[in-house]
Amino acid sequence: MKIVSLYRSLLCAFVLIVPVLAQAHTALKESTPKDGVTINEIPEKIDLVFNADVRLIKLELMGVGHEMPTNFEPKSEAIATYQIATPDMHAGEFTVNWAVIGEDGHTVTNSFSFVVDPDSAAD
Amino acid sequence: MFMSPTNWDLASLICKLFVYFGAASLVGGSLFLWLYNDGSRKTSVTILRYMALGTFFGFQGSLFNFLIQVGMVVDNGLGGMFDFGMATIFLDTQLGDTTFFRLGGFVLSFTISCFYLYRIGALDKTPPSAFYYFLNSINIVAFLLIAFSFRFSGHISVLSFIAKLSIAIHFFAFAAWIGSLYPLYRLTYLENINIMQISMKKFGDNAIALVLLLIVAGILMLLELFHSISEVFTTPYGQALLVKLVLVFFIFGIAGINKLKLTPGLVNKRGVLSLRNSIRIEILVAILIVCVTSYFSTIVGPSEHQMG
Repeated sequence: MKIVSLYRSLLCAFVLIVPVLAQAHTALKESTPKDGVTINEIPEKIDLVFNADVRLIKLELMGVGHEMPTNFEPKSEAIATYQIATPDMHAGEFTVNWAVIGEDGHTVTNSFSFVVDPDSAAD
Repeated sequence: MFMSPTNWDLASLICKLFVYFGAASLVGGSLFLWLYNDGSRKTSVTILRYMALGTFFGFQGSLFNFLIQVGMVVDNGLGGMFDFGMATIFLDTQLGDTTFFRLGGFVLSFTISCFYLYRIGALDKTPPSAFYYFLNSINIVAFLLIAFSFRFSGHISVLSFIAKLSIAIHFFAFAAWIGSLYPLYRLTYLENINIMQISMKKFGDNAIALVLLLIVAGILMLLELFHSISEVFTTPYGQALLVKLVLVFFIFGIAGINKLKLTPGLVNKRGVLSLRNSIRIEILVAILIVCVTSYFSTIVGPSEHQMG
């Protein structure tokens, strides 16, 4: 019975530990525009810099309620730096949703947001 | 950065559990039929069903893990899992290669297990041990396909040849030990205690080699995954590993008791009941170990892989 009690304790500990220890495979080292900034110039491109070579398999530039056009196309080679052209940008709030596959084959998805406001002082 | 696992992460973790179960049933079931079988048709049917069920789940786990990764990226609910365009992109990645080899391995093993279930049903007498040679040969190929899939993805896949070889050995030893537990548990329902004791003793003797393989291969992987001892205690990956090591020590203790005390004590029904209960607990701890392993190989990564 002692062993069964110990097993139950271990099971409870496991259930409690899982949410606390969860850590995402984050991959993005820096971006331009940065996450959370307000810029006063309409960007012509988005730069993504990862800490290692990755395959960028998805990049969506979302305005409020619609997707903005970009020149992004998924490629087979893995690199660390990506530059995606963003024609037809305008003022407003934007979110970039991206997904990469790392060298170890793990898929990482994340997003960042920025605001384009020509009337503001830049962050 | 710390965050709660998403539903996609948890689904992927469940798929990995299915893959581990599939591999364990494949290896453990084959070894049991070869080394520990009492020779009865009833036992053989039970084990073949176990292998067929396990490899069925392994196949589903491999397939759905692929679809889940597609769905996670498309981010459009369950329907996103079947996005043809994204699936095509993923097929050309490490995930595609991994899925291909795992599906192949599980299909092979499932098919041969079902074939043997049919053949045993058609026999009018207990088959000799040579009857299983072809089954075991196919299962060796199936397991090699599954083990090879770890070359393409996972935290070890970017490390040295020694680390990749170590994970294959570690994976085999884990599957051989954990996968044999259910067949051994079923063996405790035999009428003939003498045959039971012979098989249990044989497994206990072989398990020493499996434990050594697990430990040596595990240490070799740890040496490459962690750059310092402090990382084991300060990183989530290391902390999850510590949880696993505690469980591993616990299961080693149970196995030791089974080998040194309970197997020699198989002289009467009371001894059988004690061993049966102990194996039951060993199976539960093994499930926990598999859960923790799936968790830190799916949701958490080593510090080297935390980019940004």
